[in-house]
Amino acid sequence: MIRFKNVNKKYKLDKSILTAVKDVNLEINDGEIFGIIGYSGAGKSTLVRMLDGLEAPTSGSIEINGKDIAKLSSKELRSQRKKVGMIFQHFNLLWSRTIQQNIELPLEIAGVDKEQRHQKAEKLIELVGLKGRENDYPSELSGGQKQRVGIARALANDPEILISDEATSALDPQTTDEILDLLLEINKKLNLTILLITHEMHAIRKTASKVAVMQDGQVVETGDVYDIFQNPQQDITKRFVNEDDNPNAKDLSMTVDEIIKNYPNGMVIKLTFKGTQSQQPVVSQMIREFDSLELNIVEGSIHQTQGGSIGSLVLQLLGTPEDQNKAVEYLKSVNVEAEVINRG
Amino acid sequence: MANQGIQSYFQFNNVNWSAMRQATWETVWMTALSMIIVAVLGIILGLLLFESRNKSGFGWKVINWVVSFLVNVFRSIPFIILIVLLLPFTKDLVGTIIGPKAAIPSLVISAAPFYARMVEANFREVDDGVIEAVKSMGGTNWDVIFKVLLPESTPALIAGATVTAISLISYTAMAGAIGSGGLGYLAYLDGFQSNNNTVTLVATVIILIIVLIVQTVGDLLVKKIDKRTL
Repeated sequence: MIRFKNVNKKYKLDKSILTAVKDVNLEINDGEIFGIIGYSGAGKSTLVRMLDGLEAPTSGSIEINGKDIAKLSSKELRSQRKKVGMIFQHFNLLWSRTIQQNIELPLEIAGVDKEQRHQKAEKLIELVGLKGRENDYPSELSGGQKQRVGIARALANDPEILISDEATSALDPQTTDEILDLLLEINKKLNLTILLITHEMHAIRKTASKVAVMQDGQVVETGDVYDIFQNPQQDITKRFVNEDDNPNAKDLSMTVDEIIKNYPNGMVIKLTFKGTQSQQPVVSQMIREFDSLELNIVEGSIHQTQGGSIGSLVLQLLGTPEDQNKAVEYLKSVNVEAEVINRG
Repeated sequence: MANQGIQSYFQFNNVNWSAMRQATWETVWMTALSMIIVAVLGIILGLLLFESRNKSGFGWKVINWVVSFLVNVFRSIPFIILIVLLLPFTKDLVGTIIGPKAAIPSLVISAAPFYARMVEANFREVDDGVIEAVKSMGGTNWDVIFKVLLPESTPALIAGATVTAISLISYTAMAGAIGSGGLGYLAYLDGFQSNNNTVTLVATVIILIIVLIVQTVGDLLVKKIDKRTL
């Protein structure tokens, strides 16, 4: 269990004081994948640096399993750090060492003997899918492979917590998904608590069960990923959800404008399906229900989160105004969220 | 006549080859021995400069100030003046002020600060992220020095040592002016003062060959060790 209690971090600049982290309270349970999302400068990295004792909070406390990180002696802190693995945006591998030697580095620091180091590294190389590359140097690997080495290295000391600090931000979308899948696999296999720091909602949606949204050093919204995706409260959260939900928002609004021009009497609505609803033939039932009703499909998508799937569909309803309104009522009656974007 | 004009460069029967061999050997070992001491001292001083640079404690600030001051002073004194200035010190330290042994203290004192600055710059080039990664694994400062700083900057340290060694070779020649032995001394004494231009030419060529060998070996080592690019 990780617990942030009223954590503040202030930096003294020449003339002013910069508050990087403000009144943060979070609880992260064992075995959970917890996402922290925010744009750069939101204070996410400062938060995890404090968790690893690389920086001390100005006030408040950070506890891992009841131990206050800031109160540890430097020797205790070093042994605590061995229980926290960290992966980084730029991988931070040593180019002077082979893959195997990079993975053995934390074990060397922990004073593990050579024989055991080799065995452990071999297992980890297999776990992250880099068998056969042991004696290559990092410069011979792709970004995704480098991050796999980073993950293997972070797991070398059998940590209780894995911190991923923007670990997929330098990778292309496909490689990002591969790395996220690997993190999910590790989380399940090793029952490891993973703290996922990112600015990509996609990464949170795919892996995390809980999320905290940070803005200007504060946690502005927190909860289950599934709930936050369905019902974002803060503007910034809505932006993150939209970015992921609908990366083509601009295209969509142009398409909607065009459809309205061609069919000025139609009603444009956005439906949101949750969980098992997304697997039911709600729309076809609706068409059958109202005689004059016809529809244009504008855009549709479906996303998987760790809490279930969420689908969205933008439709234009054509037909008598009466049937249009009744159709919206019908949708509400079967618990599909319907938001009217444009009334003809 | 043989002692004038271009022809004077090619009077090879005027060259005392055994003296030349002796002088070459002296130059080589003067350079090698002082380079070994310079490397060790330079890395220690460079490390002190690097470590004390961003530390906040009063002790660290004093260390940084003292080391910086000494490095800057000795780097600024022209070598030919330094060697004269250090004569009494040399006399106490090695017991003589002539011969190759006597040149070593001045060679070291002038080249070590030069190399220390290069070492400090090389350490600063090491990726902060990697240092932080090692700290986040629970690494001590010694782990950072021996597992990150030194191995990750080895190619740069060797390249810097190559440059330093080549300056040392030219310093040994300058030290010849006050009787240090070696090729510089031979060129000065047998070449210049005895007006024997062939000796000067041969000494020059041998020094060029030594420099070329040092540079080539240095470049090859750097290329072999550097794994940053394919």
